[in-house]
Amino acid sequence: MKKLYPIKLCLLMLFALCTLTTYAQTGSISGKIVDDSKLPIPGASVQVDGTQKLTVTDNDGNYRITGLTSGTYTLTAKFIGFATLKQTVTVGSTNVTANFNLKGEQTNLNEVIVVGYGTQTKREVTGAISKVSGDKLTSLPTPSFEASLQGQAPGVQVTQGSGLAGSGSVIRIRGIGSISAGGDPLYVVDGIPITSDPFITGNRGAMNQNPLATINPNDIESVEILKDAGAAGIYGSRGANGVILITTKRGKTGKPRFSLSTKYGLSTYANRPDFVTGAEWLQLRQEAWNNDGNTGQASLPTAAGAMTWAQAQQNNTDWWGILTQTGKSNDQAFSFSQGTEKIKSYVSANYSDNQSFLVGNSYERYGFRTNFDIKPTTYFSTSINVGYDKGINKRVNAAWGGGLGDAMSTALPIYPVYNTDGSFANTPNPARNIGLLDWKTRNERLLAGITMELIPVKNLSIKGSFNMDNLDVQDNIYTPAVLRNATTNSATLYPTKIFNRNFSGTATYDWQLDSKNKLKFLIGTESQLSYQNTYPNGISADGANIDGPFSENKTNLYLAMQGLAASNSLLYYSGFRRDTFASLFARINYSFDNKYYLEILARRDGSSKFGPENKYGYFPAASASWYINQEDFLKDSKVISNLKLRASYGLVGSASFPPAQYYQNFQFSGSYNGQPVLFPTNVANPALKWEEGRNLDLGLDFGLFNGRITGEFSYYKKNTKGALINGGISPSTGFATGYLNVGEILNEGYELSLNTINIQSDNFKWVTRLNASKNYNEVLSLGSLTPDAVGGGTNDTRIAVGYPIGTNYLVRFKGVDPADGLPIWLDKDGFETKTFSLDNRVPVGKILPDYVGGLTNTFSYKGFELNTLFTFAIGGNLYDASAKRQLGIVTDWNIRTDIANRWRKPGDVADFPRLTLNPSTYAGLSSEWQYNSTMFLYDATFVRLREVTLSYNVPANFIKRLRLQSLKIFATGMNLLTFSKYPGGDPEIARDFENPQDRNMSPNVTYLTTPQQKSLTFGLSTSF
Amino acid sequence: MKINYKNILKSFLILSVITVIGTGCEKFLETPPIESLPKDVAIADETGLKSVMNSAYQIVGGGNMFGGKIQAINEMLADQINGSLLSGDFGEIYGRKTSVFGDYKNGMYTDMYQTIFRANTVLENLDKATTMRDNLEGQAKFIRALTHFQVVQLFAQPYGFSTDNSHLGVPIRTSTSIDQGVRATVKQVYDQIIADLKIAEVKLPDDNGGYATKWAAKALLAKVYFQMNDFANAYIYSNQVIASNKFVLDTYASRFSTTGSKESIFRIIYTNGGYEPGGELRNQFRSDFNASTLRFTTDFFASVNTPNDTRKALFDNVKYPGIIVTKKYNFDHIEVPVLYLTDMKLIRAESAAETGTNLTVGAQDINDILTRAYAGTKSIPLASSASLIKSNARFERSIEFAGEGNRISEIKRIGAKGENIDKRGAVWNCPGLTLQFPQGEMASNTSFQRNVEGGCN
Repeated sequence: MKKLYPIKLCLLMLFALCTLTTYAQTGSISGKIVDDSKLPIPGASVQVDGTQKLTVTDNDGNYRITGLTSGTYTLTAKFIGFATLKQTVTVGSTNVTANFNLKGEQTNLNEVIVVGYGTQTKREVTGAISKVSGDKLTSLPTPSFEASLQGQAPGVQVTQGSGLAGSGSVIRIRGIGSISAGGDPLYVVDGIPITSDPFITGNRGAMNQNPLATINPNDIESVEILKDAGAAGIYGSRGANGVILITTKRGKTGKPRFSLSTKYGLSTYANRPDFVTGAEWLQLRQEAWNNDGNTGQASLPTAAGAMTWAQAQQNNTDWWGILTQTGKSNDQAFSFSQGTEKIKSYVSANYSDNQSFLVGNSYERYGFRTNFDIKPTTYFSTSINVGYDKGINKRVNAAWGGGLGDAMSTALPIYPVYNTDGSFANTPNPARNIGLLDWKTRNERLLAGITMELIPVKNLSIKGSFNMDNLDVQDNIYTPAVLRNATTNSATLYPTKIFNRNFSGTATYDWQLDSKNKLKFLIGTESQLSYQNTYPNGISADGANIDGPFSENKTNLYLAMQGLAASNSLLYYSGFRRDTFASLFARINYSFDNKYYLEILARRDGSSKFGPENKYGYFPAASASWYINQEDFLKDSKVISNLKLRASYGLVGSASFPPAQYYQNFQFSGSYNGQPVLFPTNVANPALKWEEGRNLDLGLDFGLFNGRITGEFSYYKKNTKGALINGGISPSTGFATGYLNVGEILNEGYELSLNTINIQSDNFKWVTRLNASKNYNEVLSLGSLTPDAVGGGTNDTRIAVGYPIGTNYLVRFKGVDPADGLPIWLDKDGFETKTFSLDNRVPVGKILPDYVGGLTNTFSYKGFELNTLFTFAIGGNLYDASAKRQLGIVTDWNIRTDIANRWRKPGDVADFPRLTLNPSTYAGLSSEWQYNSTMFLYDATFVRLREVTLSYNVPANFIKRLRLQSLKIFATGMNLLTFSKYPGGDPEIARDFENPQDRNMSPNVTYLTTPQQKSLTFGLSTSF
Repeated sequence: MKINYKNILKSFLILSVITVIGTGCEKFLETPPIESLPKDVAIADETGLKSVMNSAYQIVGGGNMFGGKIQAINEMLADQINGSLLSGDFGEIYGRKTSVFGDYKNGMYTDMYQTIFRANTVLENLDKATTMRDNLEGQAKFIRALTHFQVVQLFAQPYGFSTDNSHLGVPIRTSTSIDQGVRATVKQVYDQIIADLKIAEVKLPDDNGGYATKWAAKALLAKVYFQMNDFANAYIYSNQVIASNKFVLDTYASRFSTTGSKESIFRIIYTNGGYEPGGELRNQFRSDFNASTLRFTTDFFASVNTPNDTRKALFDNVKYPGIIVTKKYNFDHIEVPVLYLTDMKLIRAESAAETGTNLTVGAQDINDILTRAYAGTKSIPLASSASLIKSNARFERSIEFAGEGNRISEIKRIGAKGENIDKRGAVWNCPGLTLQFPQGEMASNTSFQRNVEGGCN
């Protein structure tokens, strides 16, 4: 309740501050501004040209300008997203009516675009920036807002994690330029570079805890994606992977406006692999047994324990069915916006509960936001933003962690769920885990900032901004004794508080030399400090007293801490993973005659991650644009309404890797013999430096037939030097990895976005938006390292010179020998061999698609609107790392129904070799884990109907009677259709990752990956 | 219940004091993470050096070494486990055909060398030590030797594979420099191990509060010489350990007990809430809730399932029909004896038999073991022949250490003497009985020569 109190107070204060308009006694103009569907446009501005008289429409779209002496005036009506309209009226002593019908505009060059440390109009932008409006982010019930960017912007590849509640996505902007360092873009919320690292609290239970899930999509006004050096260059050393700027909603001038949205949804899995039944499984095992020359009844796997064949035959457990359910979600959002000249405010509250299609998995959250803009005088203003979010993620194990992963691997249909006495059976049993394990992750985030702006003289603005981003993650795990095969229960708490402090100061000066020449200067400084307060080894205890999670029994928690402390094993750090960052930057914008624009910027970044040798990095960039359509030869063209050529080149950097790698460091960890332990953690590399990207961008923006066709075409070439590789170390040093700046990577590509208004009549409108991008990725150099120097572990992908990052490095499978049913492989030189050898692995595929994009069609008829979004990824490969166990040697894993197409007798032409229980049957194969080959490499191409939304805007005259301003009801389907050649389940794969390198190299490698969700959502939104 | 906040506070204090020294009020961009102490801060004095030494023990007792993997892998390579149903990495190890991949063994390999790195860190910073200088040097050399000994036994053909032992062994690491891995010969590796232990033997004290002692160094020397079939030296060192009278045979029940076994010469210590040894042993062998993953052959069970053998109580063929499991590790908490008296007695007995000297001593050792094993119902005459002592020593050894990872050493050692004893029918020096090196060695040094694979069954 404490937290609610100040918000209430603020609300009261705001209502009191709402000012009333006063009226004078002269001539006046009034009218109404509506859009094409005759709906009022609130907040549109109307200005009397040549005067200071300016007003804004109210909630009903009405305006009134008073105090005008008689005469003829020209009025200009403006609203973002609509073409500006002028109208001439003659004013006498009475009121004159002037109504406006604004037309939606496709390219509004006056649209405000958020750029780093400021805003520009679309006209002024010289870099490559894609803007996605907030409404696009709320239309889909994705586990986290960033997944909704899929298909919305060219050059932005979004692979959603999975249907797990709170799951994160992999976002790559213009390809991948990092190998072992993070390839994720920088996320900036209202000027705060926020904590977004999915590994920040470790990797537990096969799900990376996604800090972005704490951002409330309902609060987002827009997302700007900075792609090239011209745009992202201002972020210097953090700009190489692109920058995602998130701007939250702010109060708008006008009367108080309340908005409410409510959504309810149902979900299930989008795709699933099919497995054989218990009886079929036993039959396949018997076939393998017989093939191997054995007689009698086949053995059962180790995990079956003492189970007999007869007992096995009695079961046919549908583990998938037991572990999944119809997911339910509900999402409630409320906001209030108000604005006067002096104070603008936006207040919101939201609640959502997403119960995923996995039994026991949910993410429940609520949050508040208050954004105030206060301008007491003409020379001083301040903005205060506070956003708070709390989420409880009920976790389930997935993938290798168990749960649905078990249902796809070791939980065989021949195993029962319960023993005869009703207790959970002790054979592999994911239901037991879900039934007994109590695992909750609590996330609390406070994002707050205050910005003060001083305008000491005209055109000079000095801004200071202090921000904080506090993230508190508490991972509470309680494991009952039976689940851990022990006699006592166990509880573990991993508490992590992540602090991120940021200060930036900027000064901007606008200098208009004459009517044509304009200059804008920006200089700035920024510093950032982030660290964690944490118990890095967690707090853990087992014993007779443990009867529940620590969150429910603080006495046990303190006892556990006491026990750990007594043996010198309690580790607590304030300042864990501390990392500081300080920068200076400057930007000059020059424009001539609204035709030529030039931007030059430079940034110097210093970071605590680097040693004295490379503490600072310098990142300059230049960009320019030319409005060709404004030249005389095109000025009067009836076809071309906009034609802009832009180019940029610059240096950007990346340093997404852990701190303290440049020197040999030691850490405390637990104890031995009751004494503290200090251990060396790394291979020191004093010469560590930034990854450096040299980015070139060329682009053409165009608008044809008065905006009926608009679009953008870009070419880019990014060359990353000094890419960090965490590897190449001899394991007999005692270290598996160490950071080296050795890689060189090329990303080259094209992007197209095309928006067309296909049909536009009074009542019907059809708009198409297409965006597509092609990326070519190649590793140009790896120093002296071989492909196996990076990778291994969970990857079946490697880095090889001349091939893209994440090359599938596999033995080639030729087919099955019809004579004996044994597999035929190709050796390194392409000759057939029947002996499997890891030495015959070659680069054969890539995890990166050739083309990605989205196709949106919007049909509107009166108040109805049908919106469809298809997203696609064309080209590239998908490696099914689970299939080698599900379709390979018959072991203790489930078997997929695809196995039907296997060799059974001489002469059979089949996809899969003869069944066997023994890897040695396939000569040279040492274990079923090494059965990696092109047998399981698939074309990754897929197209999916990501979104279909049908909405209805209730007509104005009706909702007026309800005293509402707007009322929209809608139904949305997500992932209703998927087209793909992949037989093993969902083709969109961003599995659980081990580390950033895995995240760069192994999307599109599935391993028991939880599928995406398919959902239906219904809702309504209204404002009053 | 009263909570002792003092302890919590104390621990915080120690850590924060150490970290504050490291960071202080330096410039904004020179603020490393608080947990990452630079070397000069971490090893500023003897306390720091002791903590680094302690970190080596942490791995020695951890899952990748004596916490279970060494025992599990050795058992799978040997002939007492029924591994016909093992799959994945275990199937590969049991099948004696490991490849360059396989996280289970590769993780063990890297971690064993990490132990050596930590020991070398201590050795390179002995100037920081004061009163503990000799002690720490002895401990670090003991740990380095112990670890090199495990690596060379697992990843190279045994001592005696070639007459001059010039066949390839494993990389020897005696410094912390980060270089490519280069395989030394087996002779060089054993020479290094013995050199380290001979120093440790002198520098280590009699008692060392749970850490390695001079007796641990001597016991390990006995084991190393025994493995080299150097029975004269094996006798000398096992005899010194036994003659110290610091260790007495204890019950089977106490062998893994957290209260400590009286026969432990070097053990992995359990600390409630602080250190939990044997996790991996429990993972693979514990059998009171589930039939364990690693199970024994009927042939082995028959050898222990004799009328008076009390050790059969350590095995179970009833609970899971058709499955034979051990009960040695059926505890929530255990300690792991790495070197203990039973081993010394059997080494001394067999060495006596092999050298043909001190046969009565050897016979008495056998009787000590037999008395405990068969509850006093079995013994051999004190005037037994060398061959009777030897056959008894070998037989009792095969039962005493079942599930403790000793058997494969015997297959190789006795094989090198020209006798194949593998019950799975493989030749003692078949390539697959050595584990394959991790791919990382070849990836970082293209001329690193890996082992030949497979060829055992």
